[in-house]
Amino acid sequence: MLFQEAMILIALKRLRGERTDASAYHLLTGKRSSQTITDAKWFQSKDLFGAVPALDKPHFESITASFYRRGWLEAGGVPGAEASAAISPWEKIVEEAGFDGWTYRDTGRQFWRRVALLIQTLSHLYQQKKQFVPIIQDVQAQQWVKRKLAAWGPEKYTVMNRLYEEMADCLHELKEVQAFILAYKLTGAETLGKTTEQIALLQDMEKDEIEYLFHGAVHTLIKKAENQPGTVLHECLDTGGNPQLTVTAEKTLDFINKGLSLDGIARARRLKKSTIEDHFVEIAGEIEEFSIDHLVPPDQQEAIRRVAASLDTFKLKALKEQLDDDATYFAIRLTLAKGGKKSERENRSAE
Amino acid sequence: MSEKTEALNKYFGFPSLHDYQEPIVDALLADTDTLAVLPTGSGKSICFQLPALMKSGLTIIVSPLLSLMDNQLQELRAKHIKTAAAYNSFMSPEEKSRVLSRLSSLKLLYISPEALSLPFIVERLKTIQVSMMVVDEAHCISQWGHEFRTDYLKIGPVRQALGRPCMAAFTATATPEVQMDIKKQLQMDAPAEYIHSVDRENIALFVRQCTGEREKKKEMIRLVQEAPGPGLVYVSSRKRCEELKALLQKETSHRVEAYHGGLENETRLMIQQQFLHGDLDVVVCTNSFGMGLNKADVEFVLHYHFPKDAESYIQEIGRAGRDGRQAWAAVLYLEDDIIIPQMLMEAELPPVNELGSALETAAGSSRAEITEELINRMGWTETAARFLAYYLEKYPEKSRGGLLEELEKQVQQRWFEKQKKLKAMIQWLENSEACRRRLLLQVFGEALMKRPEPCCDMCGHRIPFREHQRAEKEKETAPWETRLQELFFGRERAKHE
Ligand SMILES: [Zn+2]
Repeated sequence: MLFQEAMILIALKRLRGERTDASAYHLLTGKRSSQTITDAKWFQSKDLFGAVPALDKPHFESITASFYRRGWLEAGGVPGAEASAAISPWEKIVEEAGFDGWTYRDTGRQFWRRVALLIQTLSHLYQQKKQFVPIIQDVQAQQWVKRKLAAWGPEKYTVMNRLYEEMADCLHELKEVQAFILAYKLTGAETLGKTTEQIALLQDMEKDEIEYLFHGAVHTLIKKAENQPGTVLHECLDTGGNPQLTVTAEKTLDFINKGLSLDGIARARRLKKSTIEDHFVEIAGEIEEFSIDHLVPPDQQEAIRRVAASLDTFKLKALKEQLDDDATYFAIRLTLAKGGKKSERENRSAE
Repeated sequence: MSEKTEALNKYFGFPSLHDYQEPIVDALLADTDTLAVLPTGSGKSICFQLPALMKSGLTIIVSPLLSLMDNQLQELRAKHIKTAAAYNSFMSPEEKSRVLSRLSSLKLLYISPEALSLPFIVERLKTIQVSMMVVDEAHCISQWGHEFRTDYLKIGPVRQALGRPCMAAFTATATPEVQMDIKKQLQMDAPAEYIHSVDRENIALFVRQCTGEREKKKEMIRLVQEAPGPGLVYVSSRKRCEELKALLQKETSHRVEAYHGGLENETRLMIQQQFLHGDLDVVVCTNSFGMGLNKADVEFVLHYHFPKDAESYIQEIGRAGRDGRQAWAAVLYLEDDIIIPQMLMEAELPPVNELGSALETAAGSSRAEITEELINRMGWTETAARFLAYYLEKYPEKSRGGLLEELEKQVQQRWFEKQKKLKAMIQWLENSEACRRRLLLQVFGEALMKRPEPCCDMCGHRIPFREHQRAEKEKETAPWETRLQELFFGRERAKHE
């Protein structure tokens, strides 16, 4: 089975037939929509968000169609027993890769650019080779490195040694293949980095999987760096901003902060009310300080959580049927966005 | 030490200029208009970079290709020359405004012809001292040139608006007709002319007639395997690029990669660096590779698909043998391949039967909008869209019928010219009697003065393969621990630990 195919099956398994197949596609390609972002959170699938970014829709459809034909996917889009057995080694890979595209897709890219350029620059300075073509063309990363070097001054070689130790430590904690990928992606004064395809050839693995493991390794590095203030890697982190929000939800948040109501925002932005509701759900899931108590009475929230836990489902229709009429779909979605993660964990362990 | 030598030392770390560079630098320092036809890879950029750095005020360098700009900027940055910047449509608004805000402190500004024709850019440039204008790849300005760029025609008027600074035009390939056109369009007054022969004596020329795709592949594998490299294999499309790369990886002992526009930026840069650095032996590429790439030791350029005219051919084979060592170029010629440049040329021109609806689409829109519409909605190529936009702007008064007639005439005219050039290329490929070098020079109005040895297949010479060096190729699979040490501290120290 190919990496892409395995990822599709895993995504569909996680969605438990409660979403359309297209939702799995959006999840795997990391679509920036409120729905996909909340799906990733509810179904505890941040490790699949953007896992196969280059997958195209027709290809996705032809893969799922062939799974249906072979009976690997049952009606409703859930993998059957045979498929479940076949993907179990892949699930292990996903579990151990450390990938979290939901949280780190953008910050991860920036972090890696900084680290890679910093290492290239320091290694050139250390080996007294002044002329080089920066392997990272991103202007922001280049300016960041420039500022850092100026700030460190003569200390930069100490910094370099520390960075080497930190990288060696981190790589030791990674899986062997991930350490290999990171080390071969980097460029130094004498050693040029390799492309993903070249690394795939060296490891006799698929390019898509190498890409996934690479990002997983970067995300693991970030997680570690976040918990270790004072390290060089910690300095490479980007601080500030709520990068997880979609741009349009971010605008809605601005209006919320100005004190506008949901209807008021819809009017001001000339958008459908349902669109603004999507933004609210996204914001509720994303920003902890955002309280939904004025939108959904606390006892109703309680009722929704209880029903969701007892039914072990996120299927909105099923929940709605079990709840009082005054619990709207919007209320259910908001509540799940706020508390989805907590109740889901309990559900999973009960399985 | 003269001021010039001092500057050369300071900025570029060279002790002296080549004989042919010296007079060009002198002419530009004396503010003389200059036309220079220099073979690719002969250190042409330093001819204008050095005077630009020495003069007071800004030098504007009009460059048609993003990759060319990037390459030159990278080289300047690597030399710690910070007074250079680029301005083009691929930059973000922030990057653009950053460049504009520091115009007065810049010495070199690389700009695309499109950007230079924007009125607000011209206004900004008027506020500072522009001491020189340089047009790189100046053959693009000519109707006779192999890649006519309508925006180049605006350079003359912009020069006028900026108070007629000194003008220099550089190109690697220009027939006498094209040279005339360049001088006229750029409004050059009795320019100093430095015309070098397009002949590269150290590149031996070969054509292999093939009867089918299979034979071509076999021949390619044979040649590539026998040559130690480094070498380039030119193909027409991204798809074929990947296909032939895989074939060569499988069938030869070389380290082979593909390079084309479909790859991510980072991957492209990586492959280019690996090739420069000697980590790769062969790159299979489309013609976007090699522009401005300075690799001195290329042994061969192999054309799996031949280019659409002799100018392109000269330019592409010119990437071999820049270090002066013996090199070679070969074309694998299959008659059926003629369809490829035909289609390419067709796509470069607006389709005549769509001209009417294109004019409707264009009505009332700005130039940029028109180009975008034509590309996105009607599927035209950028070149074709630019062509139409240019003539719309040139004849604002013409009635729709009159315009249509004019456009059809222009398209026919261009088509005819392109066909003529392609025909010359084919004749050269199919020639089975005369010396290939002599015929090629004839296209550029040159006579062959001295026949090198080896010269070409028609002169009875064999491909001068270089000797294989029995050097050990890099061992790729060092454990990551070693690799990490190498990255930071270099191979020596990594070895000792
Ligand atoms: Zn000859």
